[in-house]
Amino acid sequence: MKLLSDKVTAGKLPVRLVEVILGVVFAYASYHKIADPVDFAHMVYMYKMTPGSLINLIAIYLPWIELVTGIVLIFGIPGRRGAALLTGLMLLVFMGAIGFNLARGHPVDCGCFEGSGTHTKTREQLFGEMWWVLIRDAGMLLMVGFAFFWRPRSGRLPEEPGEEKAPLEPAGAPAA
Amino acid sequence: MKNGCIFTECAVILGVAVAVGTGFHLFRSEKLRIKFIGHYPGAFEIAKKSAEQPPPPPPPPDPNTPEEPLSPGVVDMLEKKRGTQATTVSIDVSKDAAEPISVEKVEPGPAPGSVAKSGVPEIGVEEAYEFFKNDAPFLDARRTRFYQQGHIPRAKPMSVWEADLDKRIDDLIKEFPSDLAMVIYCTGGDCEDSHMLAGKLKTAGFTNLHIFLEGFPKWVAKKYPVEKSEGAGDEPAGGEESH
Repeated sequence: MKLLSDKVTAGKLPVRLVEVILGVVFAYASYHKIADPVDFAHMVYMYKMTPGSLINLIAIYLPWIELVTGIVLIFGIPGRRGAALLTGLMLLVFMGAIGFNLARGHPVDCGCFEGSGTHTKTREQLFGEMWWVLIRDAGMLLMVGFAFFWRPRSGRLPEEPGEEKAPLEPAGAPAA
Repeated sequence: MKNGCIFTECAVILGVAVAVGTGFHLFRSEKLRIKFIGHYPGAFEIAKKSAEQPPPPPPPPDPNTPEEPLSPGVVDMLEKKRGTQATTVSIDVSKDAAEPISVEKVEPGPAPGSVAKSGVPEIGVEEAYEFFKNDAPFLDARRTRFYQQGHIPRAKPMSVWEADLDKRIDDLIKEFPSDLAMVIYCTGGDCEDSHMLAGKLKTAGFTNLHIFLEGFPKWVAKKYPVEKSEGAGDEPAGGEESH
């Protein structure tokens, strides 16, 4: 119990929790994009911000980047600070794309978690969703900032899983 | 942890994602595969109708009278077909054939004689129906899964987003003369797929194309025939008609 409260006060547990939440969100977001890259390519095209030759590359690789960063964050695989950095960069790009299209009055389907629904949504619905996506992504960006910049009390970064184990054996202990 | 280490982590993650993504994509089914480098002209251009407020919809049309003058393409076709009997197709709209269509989605038709940026004339729903009654081939530019949920009878699935489009265009070239009147449609509204397909078909040599601007939602709204097909992706227009 003391160990748990120590971890909470030291910031390790909250950081892990945030990492897992971010990881789950990104891994889940990648699912439908990997399942149907054609649909995702169409969504990227509808943002009207990407050169035609890059649309398919984005549609093929972005979901996998989301999935790999998600897995690293969920399972605490070494490299999760890098994953957090990538997550933050992706969120910035998504927010920039949505914000730019909001600013120029071009309604787009976010394409974040589900297939294209543009066929059945009105302009007003799409604009409303875009504002919501901006707010949601800003919240997630704060979480990324917390996971990335938070330093525990000791001043050290949260330990990678491998570093936590293996307390030093007493001197002179016989080799196994 | 040093910054260099973080960037190395990022590079490793990106490398793994690219390697796995490439491998996965190369071995997935053709229906879900896209070319690595796509060609989408107008990738930055926003259609006027999506940047501006759409004009107010016209009053509900009388289904017995055409609301607009027919385009020269339709008139030509009607003259050619005079004296021949058009094939009748079942007229029921299956209830679950299409996605729910909002009223706002259905937009007013194109101005008579209006021409798309690609140089392909745009037609309204009445003209499209005239083409349909005269057995003109219809090409459905939407995704195959939407096509399977419901499409204009005899239409062929020709999604510009799917990898086998070139093969389908080749088949089309073999099946139809290049000057035969054809109608292309997608979902109307902001949908640009029919214009993209028209551009590709024009490049392939087809000269008598027409874009049904309001698209499938308007067709359904007018209660014109709709066909639903299961597994039509492999066998394009061979779906079962709904009665």
